[in-house]
Amino acid sequence: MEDIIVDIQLGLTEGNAQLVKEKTELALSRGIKAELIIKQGLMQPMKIIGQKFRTGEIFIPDVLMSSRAMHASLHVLKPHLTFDYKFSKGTIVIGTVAGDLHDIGKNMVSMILQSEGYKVVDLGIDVPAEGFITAVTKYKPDVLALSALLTTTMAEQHEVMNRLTMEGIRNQVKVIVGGGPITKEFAEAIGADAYASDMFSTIDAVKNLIPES
Amino acid sequence: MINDSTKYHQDRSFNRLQLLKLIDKNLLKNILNAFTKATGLTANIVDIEGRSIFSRNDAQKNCRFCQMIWRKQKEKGLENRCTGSYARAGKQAAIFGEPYIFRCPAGLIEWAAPIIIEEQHLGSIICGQVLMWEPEEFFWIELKEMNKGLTDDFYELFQAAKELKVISGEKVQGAADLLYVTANYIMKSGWENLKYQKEMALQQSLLSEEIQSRKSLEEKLSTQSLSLNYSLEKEKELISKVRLGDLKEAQKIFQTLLADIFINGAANLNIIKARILELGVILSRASVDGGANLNQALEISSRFLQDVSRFDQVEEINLAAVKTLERYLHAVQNNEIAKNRLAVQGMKTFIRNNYRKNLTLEEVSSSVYLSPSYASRIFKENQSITIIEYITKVKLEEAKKLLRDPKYQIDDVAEMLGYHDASYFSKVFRRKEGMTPTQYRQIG
Repeated sequence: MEDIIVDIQLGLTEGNAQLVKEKTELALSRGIKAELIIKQGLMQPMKIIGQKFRTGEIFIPDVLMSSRAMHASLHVLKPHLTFDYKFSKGTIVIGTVAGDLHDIGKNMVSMILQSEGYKVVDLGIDVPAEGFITAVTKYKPDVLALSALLTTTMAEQHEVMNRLTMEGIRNQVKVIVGGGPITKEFAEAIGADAYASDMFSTIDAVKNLIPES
Repeated sequence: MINDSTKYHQDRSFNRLQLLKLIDKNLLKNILNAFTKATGLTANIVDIEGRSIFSRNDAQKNCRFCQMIWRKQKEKGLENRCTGSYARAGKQAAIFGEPYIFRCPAGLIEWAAPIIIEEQHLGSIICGQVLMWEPEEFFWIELKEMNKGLTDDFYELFQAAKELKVISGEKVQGAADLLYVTANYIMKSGWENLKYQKEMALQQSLLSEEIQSRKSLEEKLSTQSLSLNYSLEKEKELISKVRLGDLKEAQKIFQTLLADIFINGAANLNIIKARILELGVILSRASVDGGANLNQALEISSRFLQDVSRFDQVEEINLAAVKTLERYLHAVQNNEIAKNRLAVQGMKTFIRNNYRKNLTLEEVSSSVYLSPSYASRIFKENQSITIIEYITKVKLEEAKKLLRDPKYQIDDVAEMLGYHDASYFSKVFRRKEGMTPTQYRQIG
């Protein structure tokens, strides 16, 4: 059983989409839970891939290949994840701020949150501050999750925080900020409610901010 | 009132024109074709809105897959899908300052390199339309997913996708890096062109100023024959200034003559070219007269001839002429400096060999066949002291040597150095050395 997970991890690292797809199907047929496949088979290697990319060990083509393999697995898993909105644990609006196109981590976070019973509104990539404000007003989420992969877009996160205060809706929503260049100090400095260093801690932060009723 | 969309369209065509204005379309085509030959990959240049800057005839042929996607997008009114992704990728590449590799909306791998000239992002080179994997089962799923809005019949599209090039991630990164180097080359030549255009604009404004003042002059005099005589007079003046290597004055006169040529040549390019070339010949002769190296003058002349026959814009010819004048004058000046250095060296040698005589300025200057006044000027320029001061310096150095030998009397030393009066020698010695020859001897 563990072997299949290792195979998926290796396939993901190599960027072999077809292999990852087949191994995911195999894992499901052997009764391994979709949530477990995501957490162990996908998120762990993707975290390492992200780190390697940042340190310059691997390049964008490698990341594109791995993310494609990840999507191959998610394609298989999607029907097996439970999306129950009637008993939603809470609503989360998620997106990467303007200027960032890297959405690999964000996609996985939104997928896993949905599987755990949260309602997720994914605004996608390259979202301007205005887009977040509109979404907060419209969906009244419990949590707003802002991701940024580049140092150049960190300022945009600050801009979103400022706009929330200006519009008088800062108190209505908890804000998590994360992404490669973000530090805990930066999160505190711009007045975010929580800081998430990676995909796992984003999910933990959401759970902490939304108390189970 | 201009509405937003009109303004938007104006901005867009502005950007597109700007890039083509800076860089010759054929040069861009050649660069891209060389890139394609080297890598086997198609490449295109788009403006910041993601639209190709080339017409259909000039652009490289897209793969069959892309042609099909493009057709289907057009049917559905979704043309923005391709251009939008190019615009986004170009923007990212410009922000990162490095090649940006991405997946296009239809599912292919492409990459972009930014073209930024003087801090303005003018466009991007887009390359790719490849896969980094052999098409497998999941790829067909992806294609259906990504292109579901376009068609229901995927058979043709799948067939076309099988023809797509499959290259490794390493090769993609390499090609993207090469593209970035290519973009840098385009940026550099664009920047140089911008500089050239600015120079040309300056030259044009000088020219039009000259034409304006000429017009008012002609109105005042209203003489028919003025023009020719005026020009001939001016040419003579020009020759003398070039001979002397006087750049500033020569430029002023040259500007006047150029204006004259452009006015009288009207729009007849051949006449303008002929007269400009005549002027070139005059410059060449005058520069050689002024001492320019013959071979160098010939080189400048042949370059000018090529420029004039190559260009067909008055602005370009004008700038080439002005540059040529500068080159001739530099040739004269260079030679003059070299010649002066030789003459000064000759005078110094003459002085050192003849210090025992009572040398005059005339004797020194005639030793190098120069007039006393000219010789004095270049000597002072070159050595920062006058000829007479140098003579004295040489004499006194020799005097010190002789004074150390007790067998010579002060009188003897003075006489040996060409001083008829020993007390005058003592006076000069004391003024320069701070002590009398006797005192010097006592110390020594």
